Amino acid sequence: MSEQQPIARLRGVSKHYGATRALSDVSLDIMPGTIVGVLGPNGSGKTTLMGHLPGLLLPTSGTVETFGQPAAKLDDAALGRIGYVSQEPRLMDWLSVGETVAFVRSGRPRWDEALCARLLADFELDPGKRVSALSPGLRQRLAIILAVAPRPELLLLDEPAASLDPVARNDFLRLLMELIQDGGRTILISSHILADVEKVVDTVLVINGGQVHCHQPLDDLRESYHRVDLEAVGADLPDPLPLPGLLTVTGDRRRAMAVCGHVPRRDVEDAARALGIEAKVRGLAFEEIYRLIATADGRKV
Amino acid sequence: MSALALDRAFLLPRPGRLLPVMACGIFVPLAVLVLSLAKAPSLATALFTTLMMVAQVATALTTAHKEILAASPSFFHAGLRRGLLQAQLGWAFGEAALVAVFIALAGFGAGPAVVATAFGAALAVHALLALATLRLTWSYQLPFWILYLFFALPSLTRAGYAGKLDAVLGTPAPWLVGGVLLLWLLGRNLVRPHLHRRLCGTMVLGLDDVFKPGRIQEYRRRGEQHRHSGQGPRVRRRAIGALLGRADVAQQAGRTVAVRMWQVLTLAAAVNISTRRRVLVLIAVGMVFFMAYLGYYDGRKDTQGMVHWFAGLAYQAALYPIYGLAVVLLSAPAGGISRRNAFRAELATLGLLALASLGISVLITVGFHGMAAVLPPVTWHGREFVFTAPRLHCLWLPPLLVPFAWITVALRPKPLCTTANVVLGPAFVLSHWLMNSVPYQRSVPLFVGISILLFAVAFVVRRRWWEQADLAI
Repeated sequence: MSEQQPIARLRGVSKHYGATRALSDVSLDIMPGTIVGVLGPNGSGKTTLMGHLPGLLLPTSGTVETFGQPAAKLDDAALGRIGYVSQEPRLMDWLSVGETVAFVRSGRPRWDEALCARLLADFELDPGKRVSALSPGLRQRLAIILAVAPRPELLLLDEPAASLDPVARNDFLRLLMELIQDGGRTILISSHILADVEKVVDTVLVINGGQVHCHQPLDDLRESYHRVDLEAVGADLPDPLPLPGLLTVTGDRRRAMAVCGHVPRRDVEDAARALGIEAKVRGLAFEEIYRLIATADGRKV
Repeated sequence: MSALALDRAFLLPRPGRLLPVMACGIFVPLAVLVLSLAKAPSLATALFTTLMMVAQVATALTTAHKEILAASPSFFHAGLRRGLLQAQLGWAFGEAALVAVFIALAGFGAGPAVVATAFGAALAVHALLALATLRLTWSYQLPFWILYLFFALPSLTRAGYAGKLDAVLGTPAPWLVGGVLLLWLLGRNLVRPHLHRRLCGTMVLGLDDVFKPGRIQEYRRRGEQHRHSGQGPRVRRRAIGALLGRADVAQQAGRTVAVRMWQVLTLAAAVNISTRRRVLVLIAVGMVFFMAYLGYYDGRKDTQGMVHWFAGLAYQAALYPIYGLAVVLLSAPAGGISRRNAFRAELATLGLLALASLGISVLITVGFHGMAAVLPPVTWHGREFVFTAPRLHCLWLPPLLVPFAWITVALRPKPLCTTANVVLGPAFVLSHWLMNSVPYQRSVPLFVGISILLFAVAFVVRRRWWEQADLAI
């Protein structure tokens, strides 16, 4: 069986804005059909990273390839296979919603008219209304429609739900699920709402300070971070605790809670058993894992 | 918001505004004053120019105060409005005193009555402009409109020499009373909370913001947010629909460069054609009126020096398609088209806009010659006016200015940038003057050479930009 080619490949990509380093030596492959959650604190480089894939941003050094072509020189056909929703969508304020849809449709050969009409109705967008009169949430909904209606193979969503109310966010997640079920589509979604990300992604990419801290399947990530509740039986707990991949410990000499990372669950369980004390090993919530990767645990995974 | 804590900060416009205020408000009147005094000292000219400076200072200062009032935290700042009023009064009386001293000592032989008139007039001008700045949403335009008053300067100077203004300048009471009344009105507006409530949270633009496309666009967007959201008159809707239709046809034929070109032209139409029917009617009626007026003005029998000059200015209307070019050229989303094809589409758009400009020039020429055929000579105040059409160069001059717009885009590649609009007007006036005052054998090759050179430079810079620049995301 031939090895699957990545849909996007970054090699040693750095991006500087003057003295600010937005990306630093980033190398990664985005495989087709994956749903990647791009996570990181504000200013970590998520938007910059996503802007490189369609060639909107060009790297200061390194190479970016999308669909096997240099991103800076993507041809019209390749660009037609990409959908992009930016954090603050740049829409044409002088046009109405209907005209904006017609405008974008004219440049997209694979436009799904039925999907567009359904989404306009679902998102309660009046085609006669001027774009300048839309609230930030409605602008975001329109941007999502414009990115999704051409049925792109690579969909880049940069904080698409940031301005949406809870009902609209729910609608958006449903739409996203529908797109995922279509199959074969690669989606990169950045968001600070981890509960939403957790529902849809199969791969997590954590970026901080312009560096990729973690890029691995969500399930693997869950399997490699553990919480261990320890209770001394007889003698006090040893100090330091001889647990593999120990990241943090809280508690006292009789009772403690440890967090281990980057190790299989079985290794942690074996080590706890060897201590001869009562230990319960459990998985960590996704939010806790993210916090560890993005902040305290600075190691690259 | 240091301005909230320091009362002395109320006394100056914010630093970023000082330069444009100095350039537009002080240096221009000062230059006029110095030149006119050097040529022929006139009390009316001196007073007029100093009052123009007072007007500009009042606008700049009050814009800063308006910004402070519009900032949300200032609503809870005790004693703010009183502090602002004190600053306004300090400036008004300070300026009035300076104007009075200048008029008294400048050697015009002005008596106490004239000095008092100058004092009262300065108070009135300051208060009036401060009030206008506080009340008008478009107050950032005031410094430009004030400059148009300089057109009255020659008549005022003539009237001054003829002694027609002696009675006006020698009667200080109305000026002083008017000044005090206007100041009282300003104080009333400033101290009462109504104005503060209205301004709080609004966006206030200043003179320098005219050169900041992002701020202007945000201002327009906010202004339109609560307005009726219709798409304006039928002509606008039809133009947009027709251009998008062409983009659709091009897309079906797989011509992506043409798609992009029609898309950019759609935006140009959307930006250029007003959504208000009355604006379009006003432009059309105004155009016909000015063509007739300028045609007659050019045909004065007793003045040969400027024949063909004024009527030619009407051809600035042919720049209309190009005005929106820079605004939209970098505003159309770049998705769906390669960088190379986007550059090609930009070139194609420029070509089509040059043709559109030429088309409007032809229409204006037809209009002028039609008017010349039917409008009879007119005698007014003993002078005969014969309607005269402009010279030939006006026909092709506007399309040749496309590179002037393009070079501004190349040098300042910002979405929604209006710099080209600022450049195009003076570029037309200067080139029209060149064609009018220098024989065609020399002026045409020179201008065409400049145009080609600018085009070549813009071509290189823009191509490199499309190859190497980050596109807005």
